[in-house]
Order: sequence, then C-alpha cells, then structure tokens
Amino acid sequence: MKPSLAIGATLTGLLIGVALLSLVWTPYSPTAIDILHKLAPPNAAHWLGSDSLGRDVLSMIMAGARNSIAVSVIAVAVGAGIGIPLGCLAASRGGWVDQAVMRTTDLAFAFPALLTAVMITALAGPGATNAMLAIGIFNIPVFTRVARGAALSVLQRDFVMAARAVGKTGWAIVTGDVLPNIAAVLLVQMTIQFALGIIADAGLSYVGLGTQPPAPSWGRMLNDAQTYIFRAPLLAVFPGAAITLAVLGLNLLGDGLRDRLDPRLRGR
Amino acid sequence: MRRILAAALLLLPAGAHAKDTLSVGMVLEPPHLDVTAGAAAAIREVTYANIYEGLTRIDAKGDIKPALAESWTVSPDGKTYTFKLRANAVFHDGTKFDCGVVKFSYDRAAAADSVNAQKPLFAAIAKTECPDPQTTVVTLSQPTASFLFNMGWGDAVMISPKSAATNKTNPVGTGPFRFKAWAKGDRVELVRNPDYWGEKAKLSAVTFRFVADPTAATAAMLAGDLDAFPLFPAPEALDQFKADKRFTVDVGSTAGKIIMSLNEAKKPFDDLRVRRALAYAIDRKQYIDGVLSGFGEPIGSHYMPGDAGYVDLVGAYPYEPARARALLAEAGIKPGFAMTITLPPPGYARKGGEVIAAMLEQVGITAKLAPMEWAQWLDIVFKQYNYDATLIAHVEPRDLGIYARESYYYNYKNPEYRALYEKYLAATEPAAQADLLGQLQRKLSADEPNVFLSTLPKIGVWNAKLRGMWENAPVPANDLTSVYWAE
Repeated sequence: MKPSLAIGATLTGLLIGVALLSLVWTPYSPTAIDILHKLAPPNAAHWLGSDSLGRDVLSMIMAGARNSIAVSVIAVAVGAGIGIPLGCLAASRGGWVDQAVMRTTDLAFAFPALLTAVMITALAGPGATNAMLAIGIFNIPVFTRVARGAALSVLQRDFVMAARAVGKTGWAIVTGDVLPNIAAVLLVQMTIQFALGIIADAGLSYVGLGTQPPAPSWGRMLNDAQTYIFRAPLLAVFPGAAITLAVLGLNLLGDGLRDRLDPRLRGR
Repeated sequence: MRRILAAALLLLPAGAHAKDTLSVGMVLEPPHLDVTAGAAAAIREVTYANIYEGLTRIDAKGDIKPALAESWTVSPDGKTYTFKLRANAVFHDGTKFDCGVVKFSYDRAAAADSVNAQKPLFAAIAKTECPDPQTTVVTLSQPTASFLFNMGWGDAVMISPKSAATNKTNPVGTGPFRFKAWAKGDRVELVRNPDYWGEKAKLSAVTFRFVADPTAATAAMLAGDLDAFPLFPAPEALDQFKADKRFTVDVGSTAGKIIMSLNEAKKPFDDLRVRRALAYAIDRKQYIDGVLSGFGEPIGSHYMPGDAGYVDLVGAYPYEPARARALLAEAGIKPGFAMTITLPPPGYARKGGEVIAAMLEQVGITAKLAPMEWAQWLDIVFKQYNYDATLIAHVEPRDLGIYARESYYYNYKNPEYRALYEKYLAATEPAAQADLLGQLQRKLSADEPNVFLSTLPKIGVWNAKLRGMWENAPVPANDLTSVYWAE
C-alpha cells in the first residue's frame, strides 16, 4: 500500500469513526453552554478549550463531523444517483439523447458551483437539507460526465460486443457489464466529490446558509471564531484543522484508490 | 497657461479642509423612511432630528427641548397647550411650516385610517386649532402628563401635506439634513440643508451604511470605512477598540428592553403556566454575560430601571429549571416539545437564540431557531403575528401602553391590564402615577406575557476625533445635528 493511500484511509477512517462515536458519546453536549467558562484555552476538562458561550470545542467538532458527513454523503448520493444513470444512458443510447444530456451538463457546468449553491439555499431558505440538495444538484453533471466517458470506453470493449452478440441489450449490458467495470472510477470520483462537499458545506454554513444553529457545524464555528481571533485564536484553528484534515484525507484516499484501481495506471 | 495650471495645483492641498462628512454604521436597514408609518427603530435612527422634526424634540439626555415650537404654555387644568411656532421653518420641498401643517400632521396621525405605529399617543388630542399661522392650540380630552414628551417622538413629527404620500422613499422634513439617495441593501445618503431655520449642521454629508454582520462591522470600523457605529453589534470586540487610540468606545443606555415575545394566540403560550415555565427556564445572567458580554441589566418587566415609577421585579422568576419542568408537566407539555424561536439579525437575537435554545433544552423543550432578515421579521412576526416566540428589543421609552392595545403582535388581551392602564393615563398626581406604574409592572410580571430578559446596552464605537455623538439613546435616533470633527 502506498503511504498516501494509507494516510488517506487513516484520516478518512478517523473522520468517520469520530462522527460515528459522536452519535453515542461526546465529552459534553455540543450545545450545552457554560458562560462562566467561556473562551477557555485547552485544559484538562475541555481538551480543545471552550467557545464564546462556553461550549466544549471538542464536542462541537465531533458533532460537526457528523453533520458535515451527513451533508456530503447525501449530496454525493443525490449526484451519483441521478448523474450515473444519466451518463450511462447517454453513452449507451448515443445520438440525440447523448447530445441532449451532455449539452445540459455543459450548461450546468457554466455556473460556478458554490455560488449557485448559495443562490439555491438563499432562495429555498437556509438549512442542512437545502444545503444537501444544492450541493447534490451540482454533483449531478460531474457524475454524468465521468460515467459517460468511462462507459463509452467500456462499451467499445470485446466482452460488450460479445454480450451484444448473445442478445443482451440496453440496461442489461449497462448494469451487468458496464457498471462493474467503471465502478472504480466512480468510487474515486465519489471520494473527490465527498471532499468538495465538506468544503461546500463548511462554506455555506460559514455564510449562514448551511446547517442552522444550534446544531454545530464547522463552517459556523469558523465564523463565530472570527470575532475572537485576537483573544482566542485557537477557536479558529480547530475547526479549520478539522476541515483541512478531512479534505486532505479524502483527497489522498481518492488519489490512492485511483492509483490502485485504474488499470491504466496500475504497475507504473 | 502653464503657470496658471501650476498655481491651481498648488491651491488644491490648501483647499483640502478638515473632514466634514460622516459614514455611520447601522445593523438594521429601515424598511422605508416614513417615520409616521412604521415601528422599526431603524427608520428613526436615520431620520429623527436629521430629516424630520416635531414641535418638541428629545435630546441626548432624554429631556424635552423646543424644536419647531419655539415655546409653549400649558393651561392650569393641564388640558390646553398653546405652541408658538418657528416663523422661518421651511420643508425641503419648499412648503412653508405653519399651524396648518401642525393640524394636518396631528389629524393625520390620529385619523381612523392612520398607519402611525404609535397612534395611541394621539388619542388624547381632542382638537388642534389655528388662531393664527404662528400659533397652535392643542386641546386634550384629559390631562396627559407625558404629552410634550410624546410629541417629541419620531411618530409625532411634522409632515408636509405635499409630500406626505411619498415619504417612504423620499422623506421630506424641516430638519438640518435633506435626503439624497437610498441604495437598497447598502446605504442612505443625506446632505446638509442650506436653508435650515436654526443653526446649520456642521457636517456637509452623512452616509448611513447597513452592516448586519458583527465581523464585517468590526472590520469596517478598523479599516476606517465607517466613522461611527452607534449601536455596535460586536461587544466581544470592544477590548480591541478600547486599546486602540483611534477610537472612542462608549457604553451608555438605551430605552431598549430585550424580551422573548410569546404569541398568546398560539397554544400552548396561552397557558400562564407555560409562560412562567419559560421564565424560570432562562438564566438572565448567563444570557447577559454570554450574549451582551456582560453589558446589560436584567429586567423583570417591560420597564427600564431608573425610569419614573420603576419597580424591581427581577427576582420574580429566578433561574429554576426544576420548577420550569414541574410547571410544564402540570400544563401537560411533554419533554421533547418543539417550538420555533424567530430571530431577527441583531446579535442579541441571533446569538441569544443559541443561548436560550440551550437553556430550554435543559427543561425538555426543543427550540428550533429560525433566523430571518429584518423586513421578513417585520412582515411575518410584527404584522402577520405568525410565530411562536421571538427575541426582540423594544426601544421606545416608557411603552407600557403596548400591552393595552387592541391588537399587537403578542396577542396579550387582558381587560384588567387595560383598565389599569386607563387609570394610569387619567392620573394627574405624580404619586398616583408612580403607584399605577408599579401596579402595571407587577401585573405584567404576574402574567408574564413575554419573558423579560435584559436592558439593551448602547455600545457605541466611533472615531476619537468625532464630537457631539449621543452617549445614550433615550429614544431611537442618530441625531447628527451637532456632530463635528475636531481638528
């Protein structure tokens, strides 16, 4: 195993582990305030200190991981769930269907993703659900393109010809022959979109359009920390580090997986 | 030719005199600029004393001063006020100010179809008469001790009949500043009125800029983009400004009461036990320390400590979560009960919502927080009464009367309170008034129509060279008439 893959897998495992752990245990309730002990530096009682309302930063980071993952997973699911079938459809049908699908994705790509996510949440109202959908919608064309490109090359291969020759058609070929062979590429794309989802969620929460208070989120923690940047700089460091490590882990994992799974890169 | 040009260039630095413009930061943008047609304090914070003036005015100390009325006399029975008007006052649209304007303004505010936010202030006026253009005689149906004070409110300003209909977007008054432009979502610009009847403003132009985000407000002040932020939204950043010689930090008082308003028309907030439970569940001290950085005094009723007739009722609902839980159980509220708290933009609400949600969680209430833009809040909560609870500061001075109104957004309809308030209005003896004020406060505390939290501090930050800014805000206003830059 390459070191990058190992590091990526460890960081991602840690992220998911922390998020799962936060479902059953956090040192304190992430929303419990304790004004007497506000803005405490890291200490024995609060390992990462406490914020401006005396909430435990470690507990908030843990619960924030859960919210971040939930938003990203659903956004990836929305994108992949709609994008992959569309891409496969475009690749296997060709002709005007292909043209229509691909020109629509081109159109969608013309909009800056995060900006449009801001617009969608501003119109539909702020909140975690709308953030998931907004990020998810922008994952659709990504998966459409990747799935179409990969499917096209698989569709040229001999075993697909063979499948056609024995009378398999349409969706049977896509599900039986194409999908298993493009799964690796899609998996890599999912980890990348997952990482982008975490950044997008943090960005939306930072401007107040993502996960709403009192539910903790990394982006809002960063925003809250801004006003205290001179008094308690560590308040901004911890959620910032959490975002960085989560994204770094997912990107390394994605890179590592691509190296391992992509037949063209194998053995290099 | 070249020499002339050089001379002209040399003149430029000499011509660059001391700064005489000002940009003022505000958290909330006014929904419109007609002070006689809306309750939002932001309207007053832009227009009061700057654009519009009344017969009397309230100064920085909360005292009554003559404005468009040069002087006045009161009849011995306290029912007839005779005002002598300024002779040379002219509206920005050219209309001359005289008694006809006074009659028009007061009649309009008291009319059946009036949209004045403080219509009850005019209920006492039986008639307004003009014996001559420079004299106004106002006859009251009953003596009203606070009449001169009331007529100094923004709601009682003089309006030109010619421009009354368009004041929302193009405000016209008699004040020392004229309206110039309004870029919605960003700024309102005023310029000096060269034809002002009194001492002209020292500033040539004023820009009010709307910055809701505490971080952005801090950054704009530090960068010098804003010269003053009279109601600064980031108390947590004050130490930074105090340490910086470029700034003056002023912590004063307002007439603002921060409350958690409850909608009594919605179940279960019609139940006194539930309202009391909410009062027991909230620790005012923690709220003040956490949200207002300790600037603020707890209140036990809708009345400011220090105002005439104040009764200390802060101890009526101590922080006792166990008692809150018991009261909720008694009222049949199951743990996990969900309510929505609507939050307008200011920090006392946005940050306060998180603190209060955490406290309510302790007594088994799940508070959903619904942040809203200011215009949206005014529409949904204040106009449509469509909410469970909200955090808001009422900044009008001595406004116990709002609980006696036929229709108001918290739907508190209590005949006993109304009867008490009627009695208070009719009282003439100061002792009787004080006694009735006390009774009104006790009644509110007993009924707890809203959860009374804290006074609203006036935390102001401005450039250290700026003079003449209000240190307190007895009425919502940014009176810039005598503000100037020291050399």
